[in-house]
Amino acid sequence: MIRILHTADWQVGKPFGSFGPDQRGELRAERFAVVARIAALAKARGCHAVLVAGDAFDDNTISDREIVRTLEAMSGFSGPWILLPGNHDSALAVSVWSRIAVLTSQPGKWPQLIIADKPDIIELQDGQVAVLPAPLVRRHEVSDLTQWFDDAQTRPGAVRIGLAHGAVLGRLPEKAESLNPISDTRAVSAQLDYLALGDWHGFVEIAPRTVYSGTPEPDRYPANRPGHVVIVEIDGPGATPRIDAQATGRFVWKNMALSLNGDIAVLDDAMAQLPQPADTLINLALSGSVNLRERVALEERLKYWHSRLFDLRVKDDDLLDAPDEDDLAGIDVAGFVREAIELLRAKAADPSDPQREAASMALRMAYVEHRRLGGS
Amino acid sequence: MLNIVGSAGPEMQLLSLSVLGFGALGDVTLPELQPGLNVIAGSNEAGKSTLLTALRAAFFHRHRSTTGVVKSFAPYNGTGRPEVTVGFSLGQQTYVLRKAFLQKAEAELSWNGGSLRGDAVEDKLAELLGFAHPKNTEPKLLEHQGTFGLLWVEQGRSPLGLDVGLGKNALTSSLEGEVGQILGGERGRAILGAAKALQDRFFTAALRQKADSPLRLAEDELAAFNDELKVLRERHSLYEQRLERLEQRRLTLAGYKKNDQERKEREALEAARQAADSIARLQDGVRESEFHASAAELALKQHVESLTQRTKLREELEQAKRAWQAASDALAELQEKHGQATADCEAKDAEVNSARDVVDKAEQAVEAAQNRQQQIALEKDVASLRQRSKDAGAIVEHLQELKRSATARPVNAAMLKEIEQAWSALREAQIRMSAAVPIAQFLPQAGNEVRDEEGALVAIDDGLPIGRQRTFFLQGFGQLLIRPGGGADEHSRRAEAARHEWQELIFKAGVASVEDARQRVLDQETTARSLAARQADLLRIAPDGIDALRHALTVAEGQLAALPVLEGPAEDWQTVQDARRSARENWASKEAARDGARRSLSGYNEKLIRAKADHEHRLDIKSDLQQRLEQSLAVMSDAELEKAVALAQRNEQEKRAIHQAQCRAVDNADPEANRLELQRAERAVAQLAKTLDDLLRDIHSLEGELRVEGASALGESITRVEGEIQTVCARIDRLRLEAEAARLLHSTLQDCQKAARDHWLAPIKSTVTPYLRLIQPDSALDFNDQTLEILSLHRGGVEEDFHRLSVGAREQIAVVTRLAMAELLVKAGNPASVILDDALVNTDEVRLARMHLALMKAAQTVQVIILTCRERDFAPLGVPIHRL
Repeated sequence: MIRILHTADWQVGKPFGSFGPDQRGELRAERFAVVARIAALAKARGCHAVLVAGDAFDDNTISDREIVRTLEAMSGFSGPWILLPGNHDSALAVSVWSRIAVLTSQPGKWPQLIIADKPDIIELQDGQVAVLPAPLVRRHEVSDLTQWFDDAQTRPGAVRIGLAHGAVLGRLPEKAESLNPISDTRAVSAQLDYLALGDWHGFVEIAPRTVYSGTPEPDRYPANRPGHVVIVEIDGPGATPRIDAQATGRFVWKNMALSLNGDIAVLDDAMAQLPQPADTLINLALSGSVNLRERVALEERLKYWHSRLFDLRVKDDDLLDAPDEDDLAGIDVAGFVREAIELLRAKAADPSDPQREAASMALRMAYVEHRRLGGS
Repeated sequence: MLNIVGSAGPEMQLLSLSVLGFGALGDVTLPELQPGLNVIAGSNEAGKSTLLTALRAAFFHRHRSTTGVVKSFAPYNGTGRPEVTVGFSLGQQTYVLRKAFLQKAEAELSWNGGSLRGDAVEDKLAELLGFAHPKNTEPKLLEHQGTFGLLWVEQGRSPLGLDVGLGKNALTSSLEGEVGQILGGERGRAILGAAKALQDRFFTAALRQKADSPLRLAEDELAAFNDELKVLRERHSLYEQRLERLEQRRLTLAGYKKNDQERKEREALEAARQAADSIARLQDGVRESEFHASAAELALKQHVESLTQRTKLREELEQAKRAWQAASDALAELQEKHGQATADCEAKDAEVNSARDVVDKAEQAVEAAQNRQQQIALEKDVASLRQRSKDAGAIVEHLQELKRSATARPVNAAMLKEIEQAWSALREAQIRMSAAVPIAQFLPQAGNEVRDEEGALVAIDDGLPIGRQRTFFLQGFGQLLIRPGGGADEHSRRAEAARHEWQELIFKAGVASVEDARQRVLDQETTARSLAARQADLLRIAPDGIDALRHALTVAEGQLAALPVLEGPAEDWQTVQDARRSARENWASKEAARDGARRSLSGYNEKLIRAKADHEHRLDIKSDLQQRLEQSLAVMSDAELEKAVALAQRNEQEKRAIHQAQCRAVDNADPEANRLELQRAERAVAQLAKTLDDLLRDIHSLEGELRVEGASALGESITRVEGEIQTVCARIDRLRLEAEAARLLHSTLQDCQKAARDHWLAPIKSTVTPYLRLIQPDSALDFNDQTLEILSLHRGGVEEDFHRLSVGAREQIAVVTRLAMAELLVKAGNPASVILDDALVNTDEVRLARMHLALMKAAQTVQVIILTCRERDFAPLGVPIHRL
């Protein structure tokens, strides 16, 4: 029985540029941490090898420091690491792989690395396992690089495992299929016992014996089961592989849509459901309409959740301010201010008014200022 | 002192005023101020303005204050403390206020049922009158005295307008009671201020974006990120280009290696080189066979040449023999002719010698005749020359004698004349002296003698003229002193002088007397004539001088002496010359004949020499040819020679055939094609090596550059900056919205406030209008809705700037506006009263009468106190007049 750990899309060095410096640093550091967790898992489960199906690194120009930290994180597993160049770290003339070759030529304790940068059979376990890699030597290929698997001659009795990075045709959203295509029948046509894939960041068994492990540490909001690696056990050639997806991620990236029609409590309710707010990144879309009192209160609650969550992004384009009479009474009861508020309110309520959005905010400002000045 | 009089009428009324020791005012009391109009009159410097100052001090200055203004309250006489007591009513309550400043400052406010002292008084006053004390400064008229800053008007302020300034909030606050909440009250102003503050975060007063607005800062941040991104992308693009280039280089290199092109080219080069070596060997064979063929050809040529030479030698030998024989014959003929010519020539020589002898003799005869002829001529010349020389010598001697005579002490006519004049003067002086000078006649006794002063004997025979004092020694007598008189002395001196001059002249002329001088002049003239005559003779005999003449004589005598001594008569010259010519002609003829014979002989001599030489030359040629033929035959006979020629011909044909075969082999090897191929292969190998070297070097260089750049986290930086840009853009969107919202909020509030003010100003205008109509019929005022200042007056359809109106008009308008505002305030329930300190000093009588009406109108609602120095101006009002 052969046991391997299949993972992909670490994308070490991903910059997370839209985050603040502290968050950015933490997210980046977690990429090393998850690699260390993978190494520990592989060791704990007694895996014969770890297959990384591409995009271990986010870019071929990441710093040497990040490469070395990654290699150090991998050192927890002493077995072979078969690393496949993907579209982010394709085996170009000069790439992260050529730099790794230089770096690991220096004295030091390095993991057992097998860079699968050529379409050559890699044998493991004294030939019991034949890994057929389809490395990307360019970022994008329009042909199916796994084609050669069909004709690859392996040792009789060897378990045949394909290793590729790209989009399985006909099984993924159209956008994901445009480049680096992989036939969805490759596992069958090439008589593979298992086809370990990378590129799709969520765990999915997309075709028979054909599995995307997804990224071990989520880095996007789509809910496609990111944060896993796959432990695969194969009893022998032709045997059905046992596939076990193991959660490895720390951060939860979540899209959230809330409709606040007059009730901002739904925000607290939704947030309260989060098991680990401090490790959760929320992309929140708000809709509906609220009066100014609620809007101000909402801003305060959002501010609170900003501090509770690892990150909170709010899109409130679809959330309309609807000042009511009480709002106006709260802002002021008489005089020119009332006139002004009425004018702004009319603007904010008029969809054709180009200043509608500004008027809404102006109303909020007036309301906030009113409160700041000690109004009710 | 406190004195409360009257009862509550309008909302606020001053009832009494008492001032003690306040500035220039000593002790002033106004005990009964009335509701409505009050006039307080006083002359200039009476203290009217100080009275108003005291009133303000009582209400608005803290009694404990020690500011400069409060210190100015101190009494001028320097004793005591300033003290003010005011009685006033407010609503239904009557108050008495007393304040003392500086020393032992005190404050007391009392009313029915209560009183306050100290600082509590100040707070109570602020509450009652609706003003606010400043924190740490003096109360300012327009900021801290509520509506009283507007309504109590100091002297000179009225023409300035309302002068509301910073006190407008107090005024508007007070007026808002009348106009309700249109202005939004304090809250509205606060929100407007807050909105302005929000707007000010982003915009300048001119609504331009501020340099330090958060939006501008974010935009600057975005620009910086964009710049950074641009640089990073450029670097990344360069990185990608290099990467692409590296890939291409590697592919190119791999292509070369895959095709094994270097090996192929090297093999092609080797093959070309081997072919070239083969061709080189063939070419060597060609050159060798060519050499052999050429050598055979040369040998053949040599044998053929030898054969040809031998035939030619034989022919030449025959010719040489024939020529030698001809030369021998010609030589013999010439030798005979030469002998004949020699004999003829010898005969001719003898004839010439004979003729020559004849000529010599004739020449001697001619020479002898010539010599005799010359001797005779010379002898004649010598004789002539001798005679002329002799004559010339005599003339020369004579001339020398004449010259000596002429040059010895010459006396010319001028000297003669001078001598004659001196003689004549001497004679005249002697005559005059003799007539004047006494004559001493000494007649000594025998034996005695007379001597003069110098001891010389004096002749005693004749009388001795005494021209001067003289002393004589008379023997036997002694001395005799004679002193002549009567001018004798002068005459004697003149005579002596004349004599002295005469003697000098004749001495100089070398004559003894005048006659002698005259004779000398005559002799000299005679000698000069003789001299000229003799010199003419000499010139005729010896034109070139006697020395030339003597030299010619010497030469002629020498020539004559050089001639041989010939005697006898001279032969006939013509005869001897004819004989000599005849002899010479004959001699010449003989010589010509002899020369002809000699030339003929010479010609034969030359021909004979040439003939001999030719003969010898022919003989040499013949011998040489004969010898060469013999030598050639000795080497190889004719038969042997012909056999060698045939053999050489065969050898040459064989060698030529071999050479041609070699040439064909070379041609078949195509050396040009081989050369080109070799050249191509060499270049191809070199170029390929260079290409591969360049590729490798380029690859290594690119790999190095890319390794360095690749480790710089370029892609990561780009993604990070893109993220930053995304974040900043979102922030900018948010800030833009905030900025627009702030501006919208502020502008909307401002617009609404303006509209409210326009609405709010309406009651002010409506209240002012009846007052204004009293002084300016059919007119209206415009106010600044922010400051409430009077802007302009509309009169007869024309808008006039308030500040361009006359001083009188301004003070009238400002006063009636204050009266109207006071009425408005009172109607709104606010405490108000009006005090005018000489506020209408620029108003003419007609307008003053109209102003009286306005004052009376206002007095129906509000208390009006008029401080004036012109009592009679306000007497028509019919109200009590308080005098200071």
